[in-house]
Amino acid sequence: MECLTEFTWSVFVDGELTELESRKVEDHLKICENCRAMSAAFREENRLLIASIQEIDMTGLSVAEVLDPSAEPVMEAARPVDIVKWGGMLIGLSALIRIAMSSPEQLALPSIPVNLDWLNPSNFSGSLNWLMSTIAFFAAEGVSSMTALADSLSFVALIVLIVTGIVMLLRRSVSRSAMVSALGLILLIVSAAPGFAMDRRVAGENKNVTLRANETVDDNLFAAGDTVVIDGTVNGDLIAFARSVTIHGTIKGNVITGATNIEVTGTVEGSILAGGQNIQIDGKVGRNAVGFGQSVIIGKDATIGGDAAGFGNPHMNGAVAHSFYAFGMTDIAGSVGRNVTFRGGNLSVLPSARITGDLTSYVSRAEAVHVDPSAMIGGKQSVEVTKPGPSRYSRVGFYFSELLHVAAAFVAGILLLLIFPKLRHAGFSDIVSVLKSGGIGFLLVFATPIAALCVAITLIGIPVALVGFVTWLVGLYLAKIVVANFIGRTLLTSQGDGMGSVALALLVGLVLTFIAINLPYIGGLIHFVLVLVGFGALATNVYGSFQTARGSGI
Amino acid sequence: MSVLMEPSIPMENSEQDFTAIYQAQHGRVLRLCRYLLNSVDAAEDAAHEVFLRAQARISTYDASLPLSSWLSGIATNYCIDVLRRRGTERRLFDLASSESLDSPSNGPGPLTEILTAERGKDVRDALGQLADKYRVPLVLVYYNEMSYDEIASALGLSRNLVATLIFRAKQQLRQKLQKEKYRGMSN
Repeated sequence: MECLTEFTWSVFVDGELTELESRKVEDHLKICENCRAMSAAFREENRLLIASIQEIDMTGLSVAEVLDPSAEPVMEAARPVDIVKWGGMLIGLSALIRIAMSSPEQLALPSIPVNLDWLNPSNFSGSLNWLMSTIAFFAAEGVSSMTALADSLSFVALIVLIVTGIVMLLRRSVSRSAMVSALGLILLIVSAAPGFAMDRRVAGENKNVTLRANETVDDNLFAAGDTVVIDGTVNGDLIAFARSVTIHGTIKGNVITGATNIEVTGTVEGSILAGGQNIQIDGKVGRNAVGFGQSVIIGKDATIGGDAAGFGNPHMNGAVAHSFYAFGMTDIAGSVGRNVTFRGGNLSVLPSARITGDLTSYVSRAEAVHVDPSAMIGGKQSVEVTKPGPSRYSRVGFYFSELLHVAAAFVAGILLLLIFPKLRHAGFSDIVSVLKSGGIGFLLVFATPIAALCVAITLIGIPVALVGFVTWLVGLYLAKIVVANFIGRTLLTSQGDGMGSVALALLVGLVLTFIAINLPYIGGLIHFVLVLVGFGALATNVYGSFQTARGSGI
Repeated sequence: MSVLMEPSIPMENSEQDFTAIYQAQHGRVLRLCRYLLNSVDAAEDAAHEVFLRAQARISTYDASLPLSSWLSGIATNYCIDVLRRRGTERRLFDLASSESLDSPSNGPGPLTEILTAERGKDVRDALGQLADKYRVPLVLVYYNEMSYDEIASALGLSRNLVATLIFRAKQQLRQKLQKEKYRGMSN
């Protein structure tokens, strides 16, 4: 017999050669001194390997402590993941319970339950209400804690820098000390109030933010709380999120606001962009006014210097200098300097209405437009009847555009799966993991824009906020793809990782997903749930990939 | 029943007994999962799942076998499933076409001189760096003390492939440890 190959040694020292083979080896060892030495060395190596691998059982320490020199960080790192996991599950569950409990008698499927109206894509104002209440909630609850966190973090960082600076100075490293001091100074400037791009007023204990009549803010103002009341003057823009926002005073800039109830009786010299359940504008708006809400009322004392647009159920009793765009059930009793464009269910032009330009309506039936004979219309009056019915599904163009969407999503999906191969196997083993992903998704979908807004309040935070916002948009788009991939893989029971089977599974999943989200009535709900669950899965997997990459020392 | 055997589980006290089993065996199962999955987080989830499964099928436990082997079997199967699900290889334990039984070996020889007792941590670190397909059989043979045949049936592979994977795993482990040694020396 010739000397043993390395492979045979390996099997031999594991005691796994057949009886015949090991007899041959033993015979060879008797005559070959070299192999005898090798045999002893390999056996010793095996013994040490086994001892090393078994060693952790001989100690009472936890596995992480024994396996890793940086055991504590590993254990620490495990904690936030757990919090995310369980927190996500909790939120998912509570959202489900909230929906189920809110009004049980209404849950008569298959008609869409009343309290799920906000999920119905056709109920635009309902969705807006819900979105605005959510934003108002996060703004009120989230902003205060986030700014407090940012403040305390910068404080801690400052202390660390000062101490480091002193230590460096004592160690006579003057240049480094100067650098650290400069950093500290920058941080101090940034974290100090004048460094903010705007004044912040976030409700504390009493939940209310009030700018009193004699008060003036010389900057932009960001206000969040349960109620925001502006009686004074803001020389910049006002950004306000609350349950109720009331503006009696003067805003020299623009107003961006989201709230359940918004009332403007004061003066806004710029434009207003408002979203909420009830929007009432009775004051003076220098430029444009855009309102999204269940009811958007431009009162009879209101004057709008530019254009006005109302989405929802606008009632226009005031004076609009330029054009008025109305969507939904609309009443016009006031005056419009230029044209009126209407699109939606019913339009009533009341006797007191004065429209200098044209009145154009896009409605499903001609009788939906009612123009009182006493109303004055200076220009042309035209009614365009758009055919209702299942037009969306009967048009070839619809299928073509959906096909394009599927193709685009497919390309994006393939890229995604190439960059994050882990996502190919992202899946849901049970309802708990679906809920978990849904909860995490819910949190991210709604918290990210708020967080971005909060970060944007500080000057240095603006690029971070932009990056965050863009990432959020990309995430929203990719979320469906993650779920589609899972559906495709499950249906094809594909375990394969060749590009072919990955692509096929993705394509099948995407086609089914696009069919599902385009179903009448329930499509919107399906879409919403898919995005939440997909977003959660996407986030946890991408996070996991980074964790793994960090763990393996890359 | 032989005194050497582990106690069987009387059904009336199964709840309490299972708690005792959990306390006695959790550490070992957790470590096995940690080795197989190469992740502390995943191992904790896996160990939890293994005990849930064990509790569910406690009636199928054959009292003539050691309890630890039975649990190790469940843990091994579960972890292999997890690896297959998360693995990016079509077949977890396939050899690449360039690797075959006959390919000449040029790795370092036995590492007795650098494998001293203090090097245990290095060995475990190196083990953690191995690909799943090499780490899993190596853990099964050296930590779980399974024979090649048992591993082959657990992984659904031929005995020859198992032998090859273990051989390659040892080669790679040596290479990594050798590299580590030189790095240590140059520092």
